[in-house]
Amino acid sequence: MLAKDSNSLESQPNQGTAGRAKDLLGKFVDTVGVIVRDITSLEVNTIVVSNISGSKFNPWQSYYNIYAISQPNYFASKNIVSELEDRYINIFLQLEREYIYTLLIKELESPSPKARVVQEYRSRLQYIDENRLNSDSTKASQIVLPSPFDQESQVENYQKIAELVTDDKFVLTLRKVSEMKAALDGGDVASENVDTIYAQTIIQLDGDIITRYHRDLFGLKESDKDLIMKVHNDGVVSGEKQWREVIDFLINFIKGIAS
Amino acid sequence: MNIFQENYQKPDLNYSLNYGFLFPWQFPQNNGQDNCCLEVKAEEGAYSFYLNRTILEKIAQLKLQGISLDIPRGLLLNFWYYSIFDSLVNRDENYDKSANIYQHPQLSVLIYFFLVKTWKTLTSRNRNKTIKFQSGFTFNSYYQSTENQHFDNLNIMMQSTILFDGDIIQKISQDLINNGDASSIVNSHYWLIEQVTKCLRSNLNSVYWFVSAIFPAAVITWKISSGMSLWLSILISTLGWIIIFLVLGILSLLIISQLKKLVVRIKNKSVDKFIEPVISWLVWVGTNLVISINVFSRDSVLLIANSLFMLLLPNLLKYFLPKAGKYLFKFFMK
Repeated sequence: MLAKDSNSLESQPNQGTAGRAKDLLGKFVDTVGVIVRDITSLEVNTIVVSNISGSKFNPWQSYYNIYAISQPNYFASKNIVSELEDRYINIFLQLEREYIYTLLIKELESPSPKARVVQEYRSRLQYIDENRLNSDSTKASQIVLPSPFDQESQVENYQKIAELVTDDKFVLTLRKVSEMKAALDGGDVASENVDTIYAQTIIQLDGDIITRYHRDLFGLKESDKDLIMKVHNDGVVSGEKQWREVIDFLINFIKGIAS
Repeated sequence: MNIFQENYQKPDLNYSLNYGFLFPWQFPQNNGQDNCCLEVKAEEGAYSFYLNRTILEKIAQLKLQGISLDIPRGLLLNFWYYSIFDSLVNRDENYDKSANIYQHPQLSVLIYFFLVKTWKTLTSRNRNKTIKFQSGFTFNSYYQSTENQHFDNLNIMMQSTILFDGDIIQKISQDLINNGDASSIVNSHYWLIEQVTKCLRSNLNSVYWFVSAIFPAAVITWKISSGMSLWLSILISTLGWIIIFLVLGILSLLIISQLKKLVVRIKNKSVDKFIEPVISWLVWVGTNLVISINVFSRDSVLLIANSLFMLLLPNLLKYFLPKAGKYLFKFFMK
């Protein structure tokens, strides 16, 4: 996907309206294809937050804000308590992991994949699994995501980011982690008492349904607990239905054109 | 500069298309009840419902009776547009500031708006402005607990984010938990989203209408740029057709809505499913007869032939336009 995008950018520097229209439709079909192919499960998260942000998702801005987590002094400047640091770091690393997967796939699909490069990605992934950020000077500890803060290679990095924010799979991950970050930000970051994912249901394509509740849920007032449970259970039923309607629409739309 | 400001450095941008629309969503009236109207704000891929107690009661009633709603056409149009396009990736620095909100736009304005937007997207020469597709939808519910609360001061009570890859995030605010109407707000929130998504799919055929309205523009430039003079004549006639079609369409929509209001006033209840197509058909016949008589009044055979043609045209169009839209689409993808 990434490789394809960069090719189309390079090979059609002055594409006309028709080219763009054609490109647009082709990409739309690709997008739906990517989304549908990669679905293995449906995941519903119910989060209680003190303040819901109404701002719309902007890939550039989200990328910038999530990358900022990796910068030194981030936690100090935002007065984030140390108990929360891990959760912020985890958000950043989820994005980094997605990026490495894209790179890995790109490398493996290239005409001559290099074992050394693949190994590098693998060790970085292992490093990420330990949920650590920049703690030593080994190669595996270095961040792979292009930095928007780097003054020296700014142009080059911005080009890379521009490519990333048009990659559908990456954008989906970016959107999800920025929702999670917004939920963290929406609470009082200076206290331990944060907004929690109270309930999570995963419906797997093979029919398994797993629901997890946060321990804190059972410490709440009875009425509050019931309400959150209701929101979650209704949310699973209706969310699944809504999502299916939207996907059905997209698929039927393409099917309609093709038939 | 403090890099930790919730702000980002923009690359090269000079492009702003940050608009929002406010749609009134009329609920069916029952005898002796007040008019009930829900305001829906639509921005790129984000939809907000402004609820209050009257609306909650009304929705509970409709839900109990198992009535589903038709969503306003403008909103549907918006929904279609944004389920496909997400606008341009590079954005204006004012992106997060409030959008220009247009209240209660006419359908024709929306069509025009989306045409222009698609046009701009297609003709943009800047390589950095890549087209991106939507990755999901966000639905927000605001709640007005007391009547004197202004819309701008409301907090989001509930937010559902549906990402196309199957991640659904339901956020509820602490305010909701403390609110006495919490349970009804939750019910209404889910019910409204359901109504919207249901309409999205059940009106699929009309999407091709919409698409076929957008894409002639691209076809025209395409052919012009390839420099064929033969196409010029086709271009002019196509343009003529589009204009005539739009004018007629808007005119009939206007008359239809007025007639509906009249029927409602006379019969004191909402227009039922049976009368609605009859009204639209009558209006179509009416407007076209006027045109036919004016143009062909000297030749009675032509007049009758043309009138007959006009009577059949809506059905023919209904059949052919979706097909034409499809073929145009296929044409592009080859």
